[in-house]
Amino acid sequence: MSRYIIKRLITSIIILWAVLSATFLLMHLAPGDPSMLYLRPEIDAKVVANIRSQMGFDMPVWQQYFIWIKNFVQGDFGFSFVQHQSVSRILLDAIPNTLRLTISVLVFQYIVGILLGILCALKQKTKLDTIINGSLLFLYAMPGFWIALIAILIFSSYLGWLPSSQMNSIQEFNNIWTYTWDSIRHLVLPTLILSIPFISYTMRFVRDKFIDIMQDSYIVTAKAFGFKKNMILFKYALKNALLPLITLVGLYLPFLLGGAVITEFVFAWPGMGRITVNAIYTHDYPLILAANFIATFAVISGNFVSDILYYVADPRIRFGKNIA
Amino acid sequence: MVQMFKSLKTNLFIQMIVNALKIHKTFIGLVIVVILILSSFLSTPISGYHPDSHGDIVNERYLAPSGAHPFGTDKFGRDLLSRVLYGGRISLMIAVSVVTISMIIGVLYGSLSGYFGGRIDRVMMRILDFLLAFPLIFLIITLIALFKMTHWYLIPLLAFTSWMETARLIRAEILSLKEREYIMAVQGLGYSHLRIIFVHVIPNCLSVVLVTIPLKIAEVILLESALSFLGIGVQPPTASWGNIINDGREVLTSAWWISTIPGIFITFTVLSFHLISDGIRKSLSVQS
Repeated sequence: MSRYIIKRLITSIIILWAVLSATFLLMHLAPGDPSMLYLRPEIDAKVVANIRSQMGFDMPVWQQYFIWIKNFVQGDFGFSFVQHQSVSRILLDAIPNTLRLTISVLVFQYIVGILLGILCALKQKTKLDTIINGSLLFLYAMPGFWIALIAILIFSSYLGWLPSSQMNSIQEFNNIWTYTWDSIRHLVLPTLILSIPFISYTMRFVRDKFIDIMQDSYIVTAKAFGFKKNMILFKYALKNALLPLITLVGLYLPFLLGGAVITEFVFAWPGMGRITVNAIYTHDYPLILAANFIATFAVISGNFVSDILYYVADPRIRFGKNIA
Repeated sequence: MVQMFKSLKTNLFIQMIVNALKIHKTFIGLVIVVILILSSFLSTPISGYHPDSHGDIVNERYLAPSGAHPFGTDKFGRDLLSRVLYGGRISLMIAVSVVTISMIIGVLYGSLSGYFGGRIDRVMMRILDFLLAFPLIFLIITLIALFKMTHWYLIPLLAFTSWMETARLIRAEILSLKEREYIMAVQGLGYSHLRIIFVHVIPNCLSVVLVTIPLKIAEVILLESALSFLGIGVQPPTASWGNIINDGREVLTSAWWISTIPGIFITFTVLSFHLISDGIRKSLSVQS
């Protein structure tokens, strides 16, 4: 067990190091002096010289490399001259907001995806199955940002049911309940819309897995023993059909973070994605590099965790000789 | 002998296309795509307006859909029908070029990795893992920022960031092909690796490629429209579905037609490519 974890940990760290090195390499391959990514033309020359020596931009490249990696690993991503704040401060404010959105999407899409998947597997090749599959493909084909706009148009502008942007209304809240209720209302549209592609993927995964498992010999045996249908379904089949879902988290993470960029942009959600998009417009390069690093870090660690979870949950991997 | 094999292959190929067309949905998908392509090149004659020609800024701004402007007009009084059709040309052209390049890279990478196996394969797959660790949008944003890219970049950028899954798919296919007798036979005949890969291995995994291409095109259309929507893809005044939707964002309630109509086009295009891919897959399984 611990050997497997250590092995996976080392691989993750190597990939992370490669990501950092590649970013550094790209910075130096890009036209212009890399230090100008961190500084801006309008800053006073004295300040520039000061910061250059502070961040090590006047040293040889290989020393810059070590300083840069050390800074990034310690969470020191430089200073954003656009927002007059350290980049890590900006990101620390934004990350919880992105987490709120992505976690609620993950939970929601698992619930809906699993339920729909089981439903389709049980009603296999009926009209219901076709309708659910077809409508999910239809929803999948729509660009997320467009559905978001349409949803805002319908539910916020015309019907006025749900707020169209931000995480909370601008007002005083009397107690924690009205505040929570307000937060949930703001969360509904972004969550629904960002969930769509994941729901259709999870649903298809569960459906196929379930159909597969229902033909397995142990289910056939259970049927032959005359066990009740519900008991077979929920006690034997479900467990094995849902287990591989853990690994999907690792697969979803990059797309989840990418999708969050667009969803946050449309809903003015003050998370990492919106900050990154705005950083392009304002040429806030330190922020972009840091956000890219954080997102990559999240993906790598997410993969690591989901591998470990799967390893813990599936004894075949745990006791198998051929690991990783 | 060689001639015989060649004709056999083309016949199979034609047979496959015929099979695919027999499947209803594929036919519908194909018809939609053909209509889109044709109309996108005839945007000016169909609508009667040039996509970039400004109308009367006072009287022709934000006109609702009507007989003269079936899709209405935008903030410069430009005819939306013309822009949407023309935007389709841009989006489709970008998608097709990106997919062409990314398929070439993906097939080459995957087949080299799969064919040689062993240490080469392991190193190449690690590199792939590493590339896949970047969340796509963040990677694209970072590259755009670092290289201060202007408009020519979109095709190479998207191609470079979208070949990885194809490479994986092809590698898996080739790993199983490699064990076949005919590959051993040509290896025994002493053919060079390059000849084996290009003449005997790659042509035999084209079926996988054929199924993937329409899916990939759909994916790139969605990605490009998202980037254009964010303002970092196709730059105005050149129309693309994504940036027209972005144009309409500020006037969503007062001029709903600007944002809604291009989205419908994207949806049906993506859907059609999915149907085509589905049909190809089914016709391949019918064949085998």
